[in-house]
Amino acid sequence: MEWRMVWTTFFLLMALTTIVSYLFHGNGYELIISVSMNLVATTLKLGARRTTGAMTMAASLVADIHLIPAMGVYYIMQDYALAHALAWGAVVANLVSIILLIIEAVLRQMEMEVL
Amino acid sequence: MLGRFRPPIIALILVCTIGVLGLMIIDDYPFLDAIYQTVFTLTTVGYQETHPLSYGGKMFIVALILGGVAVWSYAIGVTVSVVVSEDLIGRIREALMEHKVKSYTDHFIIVGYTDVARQTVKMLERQKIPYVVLDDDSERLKLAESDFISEVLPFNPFRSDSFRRAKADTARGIIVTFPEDADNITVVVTGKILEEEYDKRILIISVASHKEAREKLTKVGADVVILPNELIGQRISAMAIHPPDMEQSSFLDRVAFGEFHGLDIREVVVPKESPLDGVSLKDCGLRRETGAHILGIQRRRRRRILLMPNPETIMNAQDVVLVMGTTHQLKQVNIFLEHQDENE
Repeated sequence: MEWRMVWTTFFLLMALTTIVSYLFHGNGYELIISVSMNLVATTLKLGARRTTGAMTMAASLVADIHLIPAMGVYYIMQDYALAHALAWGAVVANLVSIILLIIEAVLRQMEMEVL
Repeated sequence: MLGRFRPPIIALILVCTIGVLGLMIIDDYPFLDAIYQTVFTLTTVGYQETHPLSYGGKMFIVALILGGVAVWSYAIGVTVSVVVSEDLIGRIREALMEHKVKSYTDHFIIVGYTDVARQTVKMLERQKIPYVVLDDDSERLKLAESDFISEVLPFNPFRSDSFRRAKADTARGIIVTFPEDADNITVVVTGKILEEEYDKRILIISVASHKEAREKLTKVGADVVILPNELIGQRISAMAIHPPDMEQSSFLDRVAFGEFHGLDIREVVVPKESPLDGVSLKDCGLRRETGAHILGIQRRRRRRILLMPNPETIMNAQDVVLVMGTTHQLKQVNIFLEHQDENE
């Protein structure tokens, strides 16, 4: 089993589900957890050699850039509407990450079958 | 290498998150104070807490400090392990050398730092000809280090990519001196492939252990194949026939082997429509303009060399002319030919 793939998928999905949960409930703790999960997912994608891997990392970075300001906006400026909007941006970025991750998994499976 | 730093980074992110969330939940810390408290707790800076802590909060801080120390210890362990086991300093040196080689032009790629290559490197250094050694054998790399040879790229010498990284596209030639003929053949074939790839001539010089290997190396594309034993035999017999006296110290022998500082013999191919093409020795003006002497002429497609030619001898395009002179004079010969070409 490829543990790196397992952990990347786990943290990406955790980040996505926690942001969705924040969007429905609006609890700041969920925002902190989603930032943390997303940062871990980005770290796991560091140094990716494949094009799809590099794209997943880029998408994950986009999500980070949405979520970290969202956290700041939520706790410092207390502008909940803006934090909400930024979280939506992170959802889109994370969905792209998940799609890319699926494509990478399929490509890998096909390569393994060829070999 | 980067992958080995992932686990400690992830551990640090998770511990920070747990610290911030814990302080916010247990003691109702505001978000920024929770970050501040977590960071100085994890880095063991030891500032006073920003808000009074409950017993639960104090126990949580104890756990956070222990977690932080564990994560830092892990991170330091990984860093030391990467520096030691993956030879980080060696990799940095390798990257710097690769960067330096990028600016090389007209250099030689010495494949394998063997005993023969050691002597070759010494001679190239004397002549100030740029070179780079390509070898990944640990024993030979140690030998190069002990000889203070810094122009070394520790890459696999049998892979085309290693030659690309040694800037084969701008190299003058490849010199291979492995004791095994099979290794030499592999390198010569790689050189020929690169020659086709870059669409430029690369001088490939190899050694061979016996005559049959020489034929094979020539067939696969080596331009010059030298049998070390044959060469040593020839030199010994030359010494035996004309024993060098102390005064002369085999002067010509040393000139011929390029051991004499500042004096050299070179072969120059007469370019078409150049001032040497169709002109006699006395009229070409080479000696007057450059000071270099023509010692011999090898006619096109002939093996025999016409030594000490008559001043009336006429040179033709594609003849090989043996020119002797100081390093400066030989440079002037090139300028003389180029300059005359421009005038044409």
